[in-house]
Amino acid sequence: MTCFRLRFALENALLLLGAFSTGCSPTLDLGSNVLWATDHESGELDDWYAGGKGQLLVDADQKSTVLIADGPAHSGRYSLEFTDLAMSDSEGAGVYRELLSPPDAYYSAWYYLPRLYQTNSQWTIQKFRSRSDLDPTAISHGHDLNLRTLPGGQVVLYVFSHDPAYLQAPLSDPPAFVPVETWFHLETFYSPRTDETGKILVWLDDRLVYDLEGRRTTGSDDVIWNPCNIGEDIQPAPPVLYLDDAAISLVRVTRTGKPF
Amino acid sequence: MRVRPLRLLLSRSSRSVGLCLALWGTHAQGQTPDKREPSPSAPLSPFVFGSVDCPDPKTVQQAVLNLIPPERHTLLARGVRVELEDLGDSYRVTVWKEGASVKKSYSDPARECDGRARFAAVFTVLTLMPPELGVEPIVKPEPEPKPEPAKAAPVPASAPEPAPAHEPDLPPLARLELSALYAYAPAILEAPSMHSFGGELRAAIGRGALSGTLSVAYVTRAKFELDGVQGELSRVPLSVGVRLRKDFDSWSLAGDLGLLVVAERVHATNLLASQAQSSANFGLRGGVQIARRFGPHFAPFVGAFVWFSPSPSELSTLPQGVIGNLPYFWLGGAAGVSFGL
Repeated sequence: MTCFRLRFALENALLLLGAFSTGCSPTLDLGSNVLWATDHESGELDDWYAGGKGQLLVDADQKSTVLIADGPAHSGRYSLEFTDLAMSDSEGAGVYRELLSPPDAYYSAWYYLPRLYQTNSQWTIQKFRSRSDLDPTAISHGHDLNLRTLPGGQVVLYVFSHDPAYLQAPLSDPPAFVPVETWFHLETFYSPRTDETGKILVWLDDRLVYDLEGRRTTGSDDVIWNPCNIGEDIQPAPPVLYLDDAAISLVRVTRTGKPF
Repeated sequence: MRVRPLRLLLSRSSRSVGLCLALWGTHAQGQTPDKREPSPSAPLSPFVFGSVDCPDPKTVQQAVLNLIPPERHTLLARGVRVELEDLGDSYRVTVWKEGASVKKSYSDPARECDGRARFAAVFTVLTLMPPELGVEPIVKPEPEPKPEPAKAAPVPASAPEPAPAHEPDLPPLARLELSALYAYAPAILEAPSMHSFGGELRAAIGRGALSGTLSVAYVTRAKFELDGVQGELSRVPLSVGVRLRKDFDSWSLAGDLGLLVVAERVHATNLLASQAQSSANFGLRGGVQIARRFGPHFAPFVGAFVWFSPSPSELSTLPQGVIGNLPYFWLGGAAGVSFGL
């Protein structure tokens, strides 16, 4: 009789335990390694402007546009739409975040090409720039992430340095093809150095496609991260691209990361 | 000090009582010749009563007298009364002294009357002359001792109201156990490995083989690393459960099983921005423990335990999201002391 009661009590206790366990295991949020992030769901560009450390960066004639779009979005409802109307190889539609004396960090964003474009010139979709120590109003060019259309209709990603010592990096093997009409994830580890100890690593959809080490990566003590849409001859004009879920983080964000 | 182990032996088994009593008697006589009391000048009145034949009251009385040194027979004249009851397959001995009584029942389906008489006598002597009192007299001589009436009335009308009977040498009803512990959580599935030290206070309530337990522990900050995130975890496990205990002479082996509620506090130590988080988890606690008793109130012990949480809290950070969860299992060992209350 005692054994039966004990068994009955034990079975009930296990049932109770199971009920508690399935319903009472919270997820504990320990904190964040994200320096900055935006998903554009505010419907404004305010995240980019936050703290006075960001701005639009468009051509001098202000033909190009950077708008919150209620169209394709990687998450939520809104994304950022870049339309390049400048038809210049150095100016176009862009926005930036500036970091003073930043640590080595990962710069992550999702991109969307609404259609296939023919690139008759270089087509820059992201820049790492810096201000000149001598003239803070002057923003120099550093390293660019560019797209190029191949004869077969594929679009390949490559890295270009404005430093004459480096220029274009060899194409990755296998090539870093980006999809059209599909969101793809670009993440860049950027180690800003004024000597030849800097580093740039690029992941395309979580695949490391460029690993460029032992080089100067900045001209001063700051970093300007500049997603953009700049091309002199991209057809059909004007080229449009979308960006969403951008973040700057001390650790990799990856495709599955949740920076918000 | 010399009588403590002797008392422990006496409390273990009735069968060892006779031997212990003989030893005690030898000690008492050999070490205190100067304290011997004069022998009574007159034969003692009957002090063992009962309308039974098995055991025979006279046989029991004679056995009692044989067990007690003659110079201490005067103790039997001070309000001592022994009552015997034959219950068929068992018998009961009730010893009265100065208004208080102690009862003891013995099983004896074979009805060995001589054996019953010996056990009744030993029980009577142990009750009247606890060994720990040694050579000291149980009752100091009174100026005018009043011997018991000679006639063998079953229960005198003037007898004092019996006090509630109690069992001699009962184990403590409750025990408090204080221990230091070490706990280790192995890396299982998404749970990290970690280890830590702590302490535990446990109360075990119950005299028998089955008792209830209630405990609280504290485990100091256990360091862990998950997906590059380093953190620290503090735990306060509370448990309520049952204990099954088996005694082996002065050793005892116990097994515990109980429900576990764990209050946890965790925080990351290498994030850009971090915040401490608290939660409660439910689970089971099991353990085994071996203790060595030194007297009824003190017992050092060592033990091993396991804490099991079937659904531990998940841990998340930005931007990684969920990076894992707290441990499912903690295995540990404890060492401490138990105090009987």
